[in-house]
This record gives sequence, structure tokens and C-alpha cells, in this order.
Amino acid sequence: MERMIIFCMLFFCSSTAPTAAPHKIAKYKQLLKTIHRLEPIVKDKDVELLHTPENPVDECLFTAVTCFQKGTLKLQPENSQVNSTFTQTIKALKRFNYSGKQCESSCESYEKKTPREFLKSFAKLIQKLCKN
Amino acid sequence: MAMPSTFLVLVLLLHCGLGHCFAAAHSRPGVECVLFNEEYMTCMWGSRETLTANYSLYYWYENRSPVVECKHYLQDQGISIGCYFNQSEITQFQTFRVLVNASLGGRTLDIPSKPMQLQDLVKPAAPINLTIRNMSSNQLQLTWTSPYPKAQCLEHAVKYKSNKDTSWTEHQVKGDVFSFPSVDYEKYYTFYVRSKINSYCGSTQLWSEWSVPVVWGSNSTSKGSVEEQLHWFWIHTVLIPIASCLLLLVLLILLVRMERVWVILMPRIPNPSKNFENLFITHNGNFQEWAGVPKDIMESFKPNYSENICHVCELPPKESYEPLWESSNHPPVTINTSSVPNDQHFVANTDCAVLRLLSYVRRMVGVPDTDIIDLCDELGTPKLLFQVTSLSERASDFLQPHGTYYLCRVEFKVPGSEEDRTTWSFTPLLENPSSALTEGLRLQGERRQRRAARRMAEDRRTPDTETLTSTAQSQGEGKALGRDRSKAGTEVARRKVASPSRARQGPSQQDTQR
Repeated sequence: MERMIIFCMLFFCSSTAPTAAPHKIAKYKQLLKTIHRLEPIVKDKDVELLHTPENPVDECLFTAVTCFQKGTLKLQPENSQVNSTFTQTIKALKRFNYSGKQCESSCESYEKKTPREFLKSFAKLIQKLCKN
Repeated sequence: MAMPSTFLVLVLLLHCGLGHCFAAAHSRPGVECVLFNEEYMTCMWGSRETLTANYSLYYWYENRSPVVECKHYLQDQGISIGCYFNQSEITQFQTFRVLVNASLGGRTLDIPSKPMQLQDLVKPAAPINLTIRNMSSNQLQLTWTSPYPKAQCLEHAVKYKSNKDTSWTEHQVKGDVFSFPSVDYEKYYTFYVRSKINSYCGSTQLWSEWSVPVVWGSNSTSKGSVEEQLHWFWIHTVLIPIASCLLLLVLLILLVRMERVWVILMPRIPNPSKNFENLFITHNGNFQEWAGVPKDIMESFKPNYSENICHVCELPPKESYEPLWESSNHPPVTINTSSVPNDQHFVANTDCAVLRLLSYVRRMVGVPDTDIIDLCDELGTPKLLFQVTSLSERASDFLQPHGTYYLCRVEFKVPGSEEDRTTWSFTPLLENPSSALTEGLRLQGERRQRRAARRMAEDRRTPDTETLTSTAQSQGEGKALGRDRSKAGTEVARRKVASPSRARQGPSQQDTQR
């Protein structure tokens, strides 16, 4: 009986292992959807400009992602009606974990842009991750 | 004078400037670059007709690479119209800048261009290997493969049409498979597929070219069958109706001509009037007469028929006689009967129908319906009430008021060789009939018997028989008429009926009358 249970557990675990790789792509896709959802409801005028990494090199991907995540914290909703959607979306963004190469350039070295441009660049970065 | 001239110059300049700009917008749309399946790229800036000079292209990636001239120009009749980039020169997710200029007579002509993101300019190759599989229950499955390396970056569109449709139907598909739900096997379908980079890998609106079509269904045979069907349809609509009409006509003529066939198909309707000849001729349509409805029932249906109530009451067993009835115009009679345990008598009103009185007496005494009863007076003479059949005959016609009568049972003697069939005898239904009554009945009976014998002898000579009820019987026997009130000379035993004034069975009257 015990042996059967152990075998079942191993079988289950082994079956879930190969799915890890496509799981990542699914995560990226989900994140991309979230960013697209955020673009229309974020406040664009009279807000603080955010550091936006633009086309970072492969070596600095992790830094760029961290910078983007920091920037999302400063985003604000456009009006009170979209507040609930905004909060949900920001939460989803925070959950994103990325491990990659880190480089020396800091977040402040990047140019500051409006929140909409910021989100567009973020989407572009995720697209790059999806494609490769 | 100077004013209008300057004004004119200004107008001219404006016009020229506008015209120039307009012309420029038309003739110089900018540089358009397209990545074909991420294998190579072409940037075009015009065509042979629009270009006036031989342009040259310089490109670089912002903050990444130095400015480089195009290595491979695309030419049309000696004029460069575009540039070809191979895969090594292409870098995605980097801002790509292009500069196209030409020098013409000292002046530099410039074609403007915007910074480009090359991942947004990818045009995948059209899908290939389109295959259709027939799934169960009228479902088709269309599958294809794409030459583009990253299948997860693609989204597709399928368009199809049947030979009976007028317009194309387009469907967006995410995967590599398209399920077509309901197939009409008599239609002929054509399918096309094209692809595009989806939003996970780029923001592009560039669709690929439509693929090579794939077909499904039967084309030529269906058309042929349609013609054949039409042919068949015409035969059916024309030939069969005409044939059936002709057949009908022939049958009709046959029927009309041949009487024998007609009689078989249309038999004569039977006439039942023969069974009712009796009714119509003999009885002249009088249904009641023909059906044999008894006369008294007929009379009772008459609207002005009325019956008087017959009051009947019972005397107490003691001799003290008190009439229990109260209102009656007619004086009552007393009827003596016997029932278990001893003789009873009761008073009866005679103003009622004979039959009713008899039925009442019968009920009172408890005589079974099979016995025939009659009332006899003290002399022993039967009143012959049992012969009455009509409801209109009243008891007062037969019975004397204040008279005493006795209940008798009528017995029919079996007709033998000597006696008439109408011979009957009367038995008093009394436990203790008085001797006088019995004697009287016996004598009466003897007289009747003698009379009957005489009549029988006469009958043998003359065949007409006389009925008992008619007075013509007594023609031959004058004696019989004067003697008793009875109709025929037969043995009669009578029952006694007492009058109310005498509450006893007295034979004295009998003696006197005899």
C-alpha cells in the first residue's frame, strides 16, 4: 500500500515537471495581458515620470524587470471608478518573479517617460521574453 | 500698387508651397520596411514612376551600431527603389533608423522615415500543407503548418466558402487546427488560411498572404445529378398526372357503359317499406294501434284524464264499528277478508276504479299475484270484478253502497269434454265461511254448470259461442237472467263482502234473496 502511494506521488511529480517550461511562457502571456489591461486606466497627466528601460540588452534584463516593477508601484489610477480593476492588476504585476542576468546599470540611469510610454516599454520587454 | 503685387506674390508662394507639399505627400510616402518570415527584410521607398533620382540608404540601430550603408540595393530599370537586408543585419527589439537621400543637382533630396521596431514589422510566410480530415458526424478538421519558426507567436485566420455561398466566411483561430462544425455533403467547399504575429510577440497588423487553397466536397457530380433530378422531376410532374387522368377517364367510361360493373360498385339501396306495409295500410299510420299498446294506457295519456282518490280504511277487529274515514261523498262498503290469524274486514270507498280496489284488497290480504280474486255478495253471487280491464270502470258500478261483500278466489277448471272453457269456480277466502254462503255458492255453481252443459250442446249444433260478458248469452236461458245477476251459468263459489252496517257474517240476507 505504501509503495503504491509513493509510486503515485512520483508519477504525479514527474508528470508536472515537463510542464514547467511552457508554464513560464504562460506566465509571460498573463503578464502581458495584465499590462494591456492597465494601459487605458492609468493616469497619464500630472504624474511623476518613471524611469523606463528602453530595449535593454540581454545582460541587463533582470535589472530592467526590477526597474519596471519598481515603477509600477508609482502608477495611479485615472479616476475612482477604475480603482478596483487597478488594484487587482497591480497586485498581479507584483507577483511576477524573474530571474536573469544582472548588470551594473541602475534603474536611475534610464530615461524618464510618461506612464503610458512606460507601460508600452514594459510590454515590449515581456514580448521579447516571450519570443525567446 | 505695391500692395496688390506683394499680396499676389504671397498668394503665389502659398499656393506653390501647398502644391509642393501636396505633391511631396503624394510622391514620397516614406520608407516601408517589411521582415519576411524573419529571414530577410526589404525597405522600399518608391517605384520607378515616382522616383526622380537615384537614392541611397543608410541605416543604424540607435545607441547600438554605427551608420552603415545598404549593401544590397533593389533596382528597377537602373533606379534603386529599395534595399535588401539579410538575417544577420536584422536585430529585433532594438530601435532601427533609416536615412534615404539623394543628391540631385546640388540639392539633397530626403525621404523621411520614422524609428522602427523591427519585431512589429514581421510578415510571416503563408501556411502550407493544408489538410482536411473528416471527423465523425459531419465535422471537418482543417490543419496546417507554418514555415515561421516560432509557432507560439502566431495567430491565424481561416476563410471558406461553399459553391452555393456568395461571400466568404472568416474565422480567427489561435492554434493550428480549425474545426468546421456542420458539413453539407452536397456542397463544394474551399478553404484558405493566413497568419499574423500575435500580441505576445509583437504589435503588428501585417497579415501573411493567403495560403494555397484546399477543397472539399463533390463539384462536377453534384451538378450532373441536379440536371438528372430536373429531368426526373419533369417526368414526374407531367407524365404521371396525365397517365392517371387518362386511367380515370377510361374507368369512368367503362362504368357508365357497363351496367353490370355499375351495379357491383353502386348497389341498389334496399327499401324497408315492405316490412311496414301492415302499419301503413292496415292501421292507416296509427302506430299505437299497430304496436299493440293497451287501451287503458292510451286513455291514461289523454290530457283531461282524471282519477279520484280511493279512500280505504281498515275496521278495528272489534265489533264496535267506527268509520275511520272522514271525508268522502260516497258511502263506503265493507270488505271481509281473511288473513292469518282470523277473518278481517275493512271499509272501502267505492268511488274508485275496480282495478285499484282489487289491487288494494290483494295487497291487504296478501294474495299472490298468480291468484285471481273477486268479490262476492252475501248470496254468493260473484261480482265478476276480475273481468274488468279498463281503469274507467268504477267499483260503485258493481258494488252496492253499504253492502257487505266477501273476498273469493277464482279457480279456472281445466276444460274437459263436458265443460266449457270458461268454467270457473269461486272459493271464499275466509277461514270460517258461513254455511249459507257456501251453500249459496254451491247452488250457484250447479246452476252455472247446467247452463254451461246446455250451451255446449247448443254450440255443437250452432257454432257461435257466446262470451260470458255479453248479456246475449242469457237468450237461451230466460231462467238464468231473472235468477241471479251473474252473466253465465257456471259453478261459482263466492267470497263474502260485508256492508259497514253489519259487522258480522250474517247469512240471513242470503236466505231471503234466495
